[in-house]
Amino acid sequence: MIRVDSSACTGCRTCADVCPHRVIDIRDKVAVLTHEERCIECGACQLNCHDDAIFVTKGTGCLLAIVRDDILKLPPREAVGRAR
Amino acid sequence: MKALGTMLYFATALGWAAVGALGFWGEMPAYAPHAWLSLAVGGAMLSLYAIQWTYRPSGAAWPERAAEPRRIGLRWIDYVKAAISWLHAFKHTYAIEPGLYYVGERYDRDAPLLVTSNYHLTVFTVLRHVGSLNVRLLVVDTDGINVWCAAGKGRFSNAAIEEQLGRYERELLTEKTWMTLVLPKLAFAGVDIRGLREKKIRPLIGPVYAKDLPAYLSQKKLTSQRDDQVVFGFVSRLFTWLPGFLQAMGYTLAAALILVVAQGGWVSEAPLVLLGVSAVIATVYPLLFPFIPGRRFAVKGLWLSGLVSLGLAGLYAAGMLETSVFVPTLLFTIASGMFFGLAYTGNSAVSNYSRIRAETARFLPIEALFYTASLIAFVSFGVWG
Repeated sequence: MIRVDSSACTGCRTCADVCPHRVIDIRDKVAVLTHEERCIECGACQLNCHDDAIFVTKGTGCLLAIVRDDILKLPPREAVGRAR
Repeated sequence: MKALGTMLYFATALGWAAVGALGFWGEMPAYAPHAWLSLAVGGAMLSLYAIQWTYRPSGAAWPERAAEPRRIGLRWIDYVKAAISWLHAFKHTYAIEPGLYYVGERYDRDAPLLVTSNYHLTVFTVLRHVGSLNVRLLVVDTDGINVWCAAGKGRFSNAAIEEQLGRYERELLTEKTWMTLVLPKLAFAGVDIRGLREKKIRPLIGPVYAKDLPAYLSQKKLTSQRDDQVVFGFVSRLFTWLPGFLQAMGYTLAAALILVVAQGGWVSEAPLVLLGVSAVIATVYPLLFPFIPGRRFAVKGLWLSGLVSLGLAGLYAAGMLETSVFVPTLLFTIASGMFFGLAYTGNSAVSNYSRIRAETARFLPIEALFYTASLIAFVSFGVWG
């Protein structure tokens, strides 16, 4: 889920710039969700919003990650192969 | 789990080779092309394993080195490693040693500084496109994970960038007060622009795709790519097809071999039907992804299962399938469509976390139920059929 608090937004445009799916646009100096259905909840906009105007349920939309992190709650996997 | 995966891999490789050998042994000339193909697949799988094993040095820590930029370029072995990474056959994430690199004859402090993850395939892809340009690469330690996944998990972060920058003298990196970095757009799920600016670093939002780097770098003045976005088109899906196909076939071949052993030999064409069903699902799903009805991944898989089931029903009606094969494989087909759909979420660039989490909670138990029903049906028909 993604939500924008229009009253807190200062229209700096950073959220729109970092969004990889062009979910957000700036209209009348305020961030607006123009394509909410495209949001993958990567959290780039929230991390780069310093007005605390964006809230995202950040996570990885992948079966394996959900089974590992949300169901089995396993620790992060380490890299195994190291290329020279 | 790792040992099980390796065993499964070897079982699959040997399975292919065995199927090929059986084709010759059966003295059926018509099977010869298939036998050659099977032998080739088995041989290729074993060769790939041997290569990745050879290039996997022991020890997890990177060697201590003087903080000097090093030259980087592509060698023939990088293409092999990239192929292995692409096929993701061994669940390993090949990592490049983090640090400062340069492309070209000598280190140029004024060359653009591109930041990337230390996943071998990522660095390989970047080098394929900027290999002839005068650029520098700052490879950050993401534990061998690609940019987007590492950023999402917080490994491609300000701290990771600052850790690598901190290894070098500032004068070596730039003569200016502000240091400019070009970051891949997909890194910003883990990189905080303002945090870097506070360290007198000017992060530029670079292109999503490495292929766009030459055009981006040819600008007179580098700027942020505000409108660049992820595309999940046919070519992207084609790129995901082969790894997904091989993985699906590997698991199905293991299931088919277990079936052959459990049934005490080759008693029906069921193992071949299972492989055929998986091959169709694993091919049609990624290639026709946007055209399959439904918004949810598992629902798309169900539609595809329905289509494949119709084909099975046709074969059954035509008397080409026994009831003892038709019923269990039908249940397997329904489960596999849903499972492949859910598994494809990791390959796609359009999967939303909240929706996939809800979908997984709803559909994973259902498909487990269908797989179990299929197994029970196989066992039942094996006993009473």
